[in-house]
Amino acid sequence: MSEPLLEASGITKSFAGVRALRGADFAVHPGEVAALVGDNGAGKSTLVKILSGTLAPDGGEIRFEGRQVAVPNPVAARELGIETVYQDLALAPELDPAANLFLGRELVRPGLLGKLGFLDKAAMRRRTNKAFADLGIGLQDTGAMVANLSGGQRQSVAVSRAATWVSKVVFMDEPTAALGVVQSAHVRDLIRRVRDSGIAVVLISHNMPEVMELADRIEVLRLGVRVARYQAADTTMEQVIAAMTGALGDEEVA
Amino acid sequence: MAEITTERRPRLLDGVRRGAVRVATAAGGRGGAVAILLLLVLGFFIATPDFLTADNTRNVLRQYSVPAILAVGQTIVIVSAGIDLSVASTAALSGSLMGVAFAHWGWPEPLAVLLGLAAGFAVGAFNGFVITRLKVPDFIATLGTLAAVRGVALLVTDGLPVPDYGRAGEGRRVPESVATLGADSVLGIPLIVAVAAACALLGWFVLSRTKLGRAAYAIGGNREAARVSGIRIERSKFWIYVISGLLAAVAGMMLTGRLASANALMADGMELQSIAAVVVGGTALFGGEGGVGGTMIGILIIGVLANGLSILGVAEFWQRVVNGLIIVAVVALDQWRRRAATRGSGGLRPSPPVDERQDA
Repeated sequence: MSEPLLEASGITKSFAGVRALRGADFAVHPGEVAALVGDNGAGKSTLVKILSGTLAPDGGEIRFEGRQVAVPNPVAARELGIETVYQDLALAPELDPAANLFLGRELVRPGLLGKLGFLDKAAMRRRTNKAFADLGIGLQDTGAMVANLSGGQRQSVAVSRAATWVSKVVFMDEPTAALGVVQSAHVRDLIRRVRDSGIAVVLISHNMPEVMELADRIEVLRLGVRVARYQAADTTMEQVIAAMTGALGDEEVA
Repeated sequence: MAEITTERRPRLLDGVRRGAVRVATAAGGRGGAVAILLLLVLGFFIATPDFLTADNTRNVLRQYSVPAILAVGQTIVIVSAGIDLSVASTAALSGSLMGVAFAHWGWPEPLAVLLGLAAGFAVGAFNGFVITRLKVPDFIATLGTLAAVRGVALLVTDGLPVPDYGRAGEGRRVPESVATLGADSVLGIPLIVAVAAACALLGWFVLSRTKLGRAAYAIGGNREAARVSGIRIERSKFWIYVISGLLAAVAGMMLTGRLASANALMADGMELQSIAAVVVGGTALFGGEGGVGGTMIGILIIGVLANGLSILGVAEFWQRVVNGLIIVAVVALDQWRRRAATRGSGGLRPSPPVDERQDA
């Protein structure tokens, strides 16, 4: 197997004395879907927040393309080519999908106007329509505010934002949680396509059938440490669940 | 056949429901404010022949130009989930400083005007600094400057109207350009109204066409989303307060021009008028939505109401009562409309419901 693209080792994090991560390890390789699973409170979200720069770790090491890196904020993560689909989607409700797709990295007019922060709305609208078309997302009214979209459409906007900007790793925290059957299938297709383009996908999901279907590898977190890693093809859902719930002991590398 | 009807029914119902919500949203939002304004105009038109005349219309527009300019800055601040209580004091300080510099200190006109603008910039920057660096809540920070800035204006003027004849230089009242813009008309249009319109256009442009405007909506609508999107929240808020301060300075100088005099206590209470205009215009106080267009309708509602009531001879004390109650009523109506719209379409606030709809 290739070198890990992103590798975390010995990550620790406490909240007011509660040890959420007690030396957690994690790795993801280019062109794979790595599922990060664990019971509630296992530390999945905390680990993802640390790796995507929204939370600072207390200790441990993060290596990116073999180099040790710090990810002090989301912008630093972005500069490394890391994108995140947050569980709460992180959309601005009163802006339209195009504005959300470009939130924080708006295209500005050339020249002096751009220096003053004047937006190039037409170009952003064009590129958003193209992104949605490429990803097979049908949004009839791209001028509507995100607040007026359905839960599924909002999730589509958040997922396509990450897919549009990602160049190395994308974290997806429950990317199909608010979706119906058809849109979930759409997002699963999208995840495969992103992976096939050589990008590393980290999938956080409670939906075990979905994990078994999508993941190439599965890493199991329990009580703040990694307790197991599996090649998805060589394991069963029962095994994974056993590891999540503590029926297995030491870290087991399949 | 049975399958087709079950397929169609919910879709049709869904379509009807969505259509109804859309109409209700439009009618209750900015459309609602426009409707209320038109109703007021119609009502006063029927009630008295003195209301809808060219002279009286000009009168209302001229009188409410200054609060309108304040309300433009207030809109941008409130969209970003802030509030600026210091705008009226800042206007008074800017007008007073400009007046004192021009009339008493004998500064050349451009420098005096620049000093007025600089005062607005300084108050805005101070608000921005206290809010973003010292982490004082917006309401408290600007409540503090509301009082302190008024105090500075009193110090600068010794509490006397400017120009004060004992100290003013020969023939020096207020700068010529400011007097012209504040009081003169061209082709029947008061220039102060044109200045207010230009400020509104500028505010609209900032909110809808610049990165700062996008940041304002994102910070007000979902601060965490703004943060993880890499928007510089502190820096954006700082500049938003500076813009509000600068617009307050323009408003203060226009008021000075209109009155041909400045004093430290002028524009008293206008900060509340500007906030009321923003809210009546459909911008929610918790931020993230609304715009300058709605605010301009809001200020017109407030202006038309006050003007119509006084033409009808309603006593000033009663006017205050009616004014206040109308503001509450308009916002209550807006809240009701908002709840209806949220029930209809699964709004994003306060918590996103799980929506299983496939495609719109």
